[in-house]
Amino acid sequence: MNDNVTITIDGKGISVPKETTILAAARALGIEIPTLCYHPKLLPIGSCRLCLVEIEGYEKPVASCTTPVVDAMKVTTQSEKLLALRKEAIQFMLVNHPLDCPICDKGGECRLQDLAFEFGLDQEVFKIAASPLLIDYLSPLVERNNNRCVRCGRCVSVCNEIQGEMAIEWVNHGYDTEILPRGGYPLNCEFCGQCIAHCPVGALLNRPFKYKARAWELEKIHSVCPYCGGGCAIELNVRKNKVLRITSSYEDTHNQGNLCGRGNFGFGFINNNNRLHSPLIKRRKDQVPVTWEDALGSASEQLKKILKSSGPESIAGLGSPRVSNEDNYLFQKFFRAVIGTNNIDSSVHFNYRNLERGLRATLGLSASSHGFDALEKAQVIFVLGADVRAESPPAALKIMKMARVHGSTLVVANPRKTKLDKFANVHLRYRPGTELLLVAGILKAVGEKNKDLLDNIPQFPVLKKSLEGIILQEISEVTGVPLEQIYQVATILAKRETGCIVFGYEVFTHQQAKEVVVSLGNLAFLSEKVSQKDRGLIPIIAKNNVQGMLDMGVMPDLLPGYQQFEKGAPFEKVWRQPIPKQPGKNAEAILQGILDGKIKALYLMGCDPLMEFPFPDKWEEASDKLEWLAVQDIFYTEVATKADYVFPAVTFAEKEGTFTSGERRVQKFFPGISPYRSALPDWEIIQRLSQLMGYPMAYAHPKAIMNEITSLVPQYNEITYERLGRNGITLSSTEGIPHFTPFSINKVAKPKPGSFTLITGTAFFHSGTLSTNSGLTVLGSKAWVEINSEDAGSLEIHEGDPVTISSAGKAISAAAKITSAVPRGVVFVPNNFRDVQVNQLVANQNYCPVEVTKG
Amino acid sequence: MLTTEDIKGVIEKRGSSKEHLMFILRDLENISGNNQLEIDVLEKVAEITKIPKSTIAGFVGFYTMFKTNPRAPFIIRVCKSGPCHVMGARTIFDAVERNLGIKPGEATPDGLFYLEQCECLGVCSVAPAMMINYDIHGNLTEKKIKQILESYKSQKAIFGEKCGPEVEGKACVIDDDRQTKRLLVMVGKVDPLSIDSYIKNGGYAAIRKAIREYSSDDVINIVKDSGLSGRGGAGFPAGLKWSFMPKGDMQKYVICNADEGEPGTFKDRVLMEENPHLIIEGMLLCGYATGATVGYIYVRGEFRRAIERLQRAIDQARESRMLGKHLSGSTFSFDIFIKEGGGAYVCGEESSLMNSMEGKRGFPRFRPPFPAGAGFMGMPSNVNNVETYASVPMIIEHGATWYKSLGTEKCSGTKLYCLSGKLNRTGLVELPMGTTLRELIDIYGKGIKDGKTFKFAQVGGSAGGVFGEDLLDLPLDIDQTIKAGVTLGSGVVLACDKDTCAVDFLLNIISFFAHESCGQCVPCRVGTSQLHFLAKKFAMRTAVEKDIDSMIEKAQLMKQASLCALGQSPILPITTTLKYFREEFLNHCNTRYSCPECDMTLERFYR
Repeated sequence: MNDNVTITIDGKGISVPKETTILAAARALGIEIPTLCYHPKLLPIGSCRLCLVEIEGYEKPVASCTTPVVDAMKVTTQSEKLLALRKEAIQFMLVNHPLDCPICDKGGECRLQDLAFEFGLDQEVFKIAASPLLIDYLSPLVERNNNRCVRCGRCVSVCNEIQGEMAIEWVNHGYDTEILPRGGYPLNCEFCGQCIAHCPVGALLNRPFKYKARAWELEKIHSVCPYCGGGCAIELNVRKNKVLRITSSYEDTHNQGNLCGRGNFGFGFINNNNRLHSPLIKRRKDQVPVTWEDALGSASEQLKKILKSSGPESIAGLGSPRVSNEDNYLFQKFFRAVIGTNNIDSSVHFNYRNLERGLRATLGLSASSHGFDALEKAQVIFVLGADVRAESPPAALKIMKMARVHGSTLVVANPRKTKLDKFANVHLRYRPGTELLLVAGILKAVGEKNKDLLDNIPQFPVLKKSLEGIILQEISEVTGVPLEQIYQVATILAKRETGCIVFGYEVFTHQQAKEVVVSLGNLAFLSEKVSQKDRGLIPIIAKNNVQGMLDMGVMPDLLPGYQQFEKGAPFEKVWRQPIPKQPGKNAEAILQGILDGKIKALYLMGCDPLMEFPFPDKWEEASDKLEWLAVQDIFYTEVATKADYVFPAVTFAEKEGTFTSGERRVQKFFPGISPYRSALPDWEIIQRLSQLMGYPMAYAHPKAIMNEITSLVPQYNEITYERLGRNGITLSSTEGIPHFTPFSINKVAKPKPGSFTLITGTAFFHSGTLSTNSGLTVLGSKAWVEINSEDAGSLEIHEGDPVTISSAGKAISAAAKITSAVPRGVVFVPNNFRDVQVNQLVANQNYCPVEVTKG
Repeated sequence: MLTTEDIKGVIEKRGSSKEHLMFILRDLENISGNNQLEIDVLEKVAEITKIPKSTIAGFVGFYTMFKTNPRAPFIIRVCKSGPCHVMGARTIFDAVERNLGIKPGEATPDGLFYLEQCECLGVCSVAPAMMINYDIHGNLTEKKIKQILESYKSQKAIFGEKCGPEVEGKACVIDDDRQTKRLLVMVGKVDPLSIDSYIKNGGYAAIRKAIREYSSDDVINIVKDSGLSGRGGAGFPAGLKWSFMPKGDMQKYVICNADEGEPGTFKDRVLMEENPHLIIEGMLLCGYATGATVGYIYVRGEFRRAIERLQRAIDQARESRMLGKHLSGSTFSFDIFIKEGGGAYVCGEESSLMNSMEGKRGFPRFRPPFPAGAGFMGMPSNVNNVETYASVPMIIEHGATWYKSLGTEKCSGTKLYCLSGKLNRTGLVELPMGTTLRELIDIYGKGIKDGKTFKFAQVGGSAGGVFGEDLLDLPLDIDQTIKAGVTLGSGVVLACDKDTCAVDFLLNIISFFAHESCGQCVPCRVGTSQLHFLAKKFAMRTAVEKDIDSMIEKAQLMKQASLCALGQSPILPITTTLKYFREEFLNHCNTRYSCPECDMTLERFYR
């Protein structure tokens, strides 16, 4: 059946699908109809009435943004009458408008200004006696000036439809209609800044940007958000060598111009005056600023000495999921080709490293099975162990949209309440650390419910064997998830609808992380077989270049592209050096190696083990033992205080390169400003050091590094640096055939009644050094303890009271936040805060048993 | 201050989903002691119901009956809409103020009373009127006000329906045998509190007959044949509307629009108060015809007596198995629930009404989709007025031909006309469609009050037009009024004598629209305010001649551009008033022109 209808607009015919609006059809024909409240990604609002058109046979004009086409409709978009109506609507919007354009931040990019100009409205013909409305100067990051508001409602729509936040709403009626948060209080929301970005006038302003620049003075440079693994395409708004604002446009970005609070407001670290600006060398006890020549000269000399005396295995390096692919590639090349060791790893060893291992074992994948676009088709979404909103906001937006707007079935399983719970059809609250048991239980339940079908799959016995010892009743008892819910999820996953399984931090920090990923791979494969519909397996990655760093081979056991050492010949050919064939030490072994005195030199690029790694006290001890410690970073981190050499690096905004997002989208970013004082791009520092170490390296540009990468890393074969457009290229990750894979489950004990378990995870406004040094700290710079209200009651803890959490002789303390978001017996402390180092307690997992006391 | 337990109790009783928000807030306001919804209480509601705080704040801010500031145990709401205005509402304010020593927006020093202005209370035949909590009192005089207020001083605040006897539904029906009573035939005869009385008088025979003899399509066809057109104001053929409801097993709704807010209208109130089962039966028939299983009656919040009588009727109907599952042993199941309004005229617009029913601000929706496609909760819904549903049982019982035996060629049946204003006799009359204004005024209204002369009549409510002498013989049906460039609307006939100032009258209408605009679309939000500003200029005698054209021009643009009917309405009262009284408007352009009526209004409302 042909669902297209044919209509005529201004005499031009077009055939469009039935549901198309007149406005969309007109735009498809290249006919411009003025709009203000309309935004293509929002449901039509219909408040501004600018897009009125006339239809033959209709008594009155209709709003083209809200009216769907009807077959044989004859539409006129331009007429005397329509012009008069549009003029009047704009005139109405100008009533009582302050016309303070000279000091309005929106000047130059204001829709109302443009419209008044376009229609030649040079007079404010009318005023309504009304007292000026209060300007909200109290909300952090956002300034609301309702005197400039035209009540188009876009901010309300974006807050509700896209963000699912419902922080602002229309209030009052008639002329006094306003848009206010909670009836007029300051904003208390997730501060995504989306309302600002979608305000067509100057009613909602970006406070950090206020009075910083006129719109036309800003140069917009394409870049990629450096926060989470979502990889949103952004624009650096630059004036006089300063990044003043971040924007993202709907038209040309894969994230449809959506940004979160970190993306919008978290860029202050770029222009931060506390940045490292000069290389430092430790002379006796003090670190003194020196030139690059001195710093690198001395560093290379000392390193050569250690290499000569103790051999390559006495040297190690830790890379960073924050720096570019090119930087990471050169970093591992430095170790493998220049030093001759595989002692290279990163913080990811403790979490995301298990992703590829598990995916490869079951589904034959080296990364996420699908891009985020699979989420936008999923009718069934199962989220396990992820606070998606905090770990990767763009993924959360897609999931929320499916659940809220498209009615997809959403199952959220998490030890604590997350934002997605609000939109979930089913939420499972399992005990911390029982993810594997839960997935095994669901697998078992799917198996039980689809016996006849599965017996026909020749491979199924492999999985069946793994599940033999599973008794669902026991699983239910240990996980704390009712049996019915396990069956319910099994039924949902077996539905004949396309679906996605989404998982995150809790899975990656699980004691048996690889096994959980394997079990999820099995679940994806099994539910695909049962439902006969596509099942995406989508990891949620909280740091921007985890995938890229792993792809680049920053790990001790595999070469770039996850290639075995035996297959290292092409590398040896290009690098003109033999590569050590023995796997190097991983992050844990490196720590032990230092403590044992076997590792004498450590090169840190963009990472601070004292803050980001488990066992920070041991790392502190280790960093004191090292003979040679070089720290390359943008800030003077904790570990930098102990360094023999400090190399100031530049941020993403000052260099060119590529990041690979969690959905394996390789995107290019460009420098918006020149390097901060003496700071250099990471790749250039590594290159200079290599040269001084006697290894020739002469990349003129990151492009040259990427060319080498594409020639050596099979997954990157299909791209060339030039071909990476605005939204980059999403690489396929299929490398093998999916199959059921056995997995083993360690026993998990049920916690004793009355005991507490501490869990940790990402805080939405805070993800480490970058956010600490950005404007986001106005939203809070201290960690907190979330405790269930009943637990708080029995411990006589009140909101804001200090709470001490201790385990194995170590203790942390933070202010109490009483909530129903954590169940009884569980406390949550966000990680990555300087004041409260929760990683002292949880070590290399994300939970541990603790004692909780007031005070 | 309400305790968390109080709040939890209310939410438990009403249900925590958003669609019950109106009930929850009303209950909380009633038990608050001083008619207030404190911010802390709202935050608590948000916490318990999980409805976002901003959403609740937006909801409370939309409905005029709710306030977050402290009021008093008794709220006095004095009506300022057309009929009351004409009948002296301004002096009523003075009387109340003198009596209590407070102005609107203030509470008495003893903290007992709080004074507010409000729009039409739906008792226009006994104008001027006021409401104390939910008790409505009409035919107010200074003396009567004193007595009424005195009687409340010794009372505890209650939220019942202790209205004055003059407000009683049957008392509002004009006692005149020349009427052709069909809808009103049982009013006064049937006991509205007893289903037995209704059944004894032949009630529920139509639905039984339909179930027994007709298929659902038959019922639609009979209603179509009868020529019954919607009685809410727009006059859309009811049978045709019913036929738009999709076939199929999806959840469908029958919605009765009882948000009777058009100033001057009180017909639906009389029907609901005096014969609630008739409306239930009409809705049952619609449910049977369209395949809907759930009905809602959206009653404006001010109509406490109607709400209570309908609820009682629903309860009785459930007990008597006239509502519920498998009615009369058939496969047809149907139940009815009441939803309440919060004091917003725009909610009488069917799409606003459905948003309001869902617990949202009463913003109108754009069309398409129409209610039959996606109505309440996005499901197919049929919305008709009270009078429309009430007309259905007799059509099924006596047939389409019988129904068509009265009325005009294009508009069959009878119409309830609401007479108010400067007449010797006011009230509700039921006459064949197409009765003339002259007949209504001279025969049923017994002529203009106190022997004065007729100046104009407003027909159809605020959204209707002004009729001069030339239209006295125009048959008042849907079709012929439209042809004459006016409208019958909801059947309002507000007669005005020579003492009425046309400028003052128009200002009253326009201020009503400015107050009731929902604020969603630009042309209406700003346009109504601009019209208000211009109309006020005439009243202040600071206008210039071109302001007349300006008003017409703005209103015309609003008619073209506004999202819903509210913004499209002001043009009719403006052009019709100016058609007759342009001269009077020009007179008002002179600062030295004396107009006591305008002076009184300015003094009262625009000080």
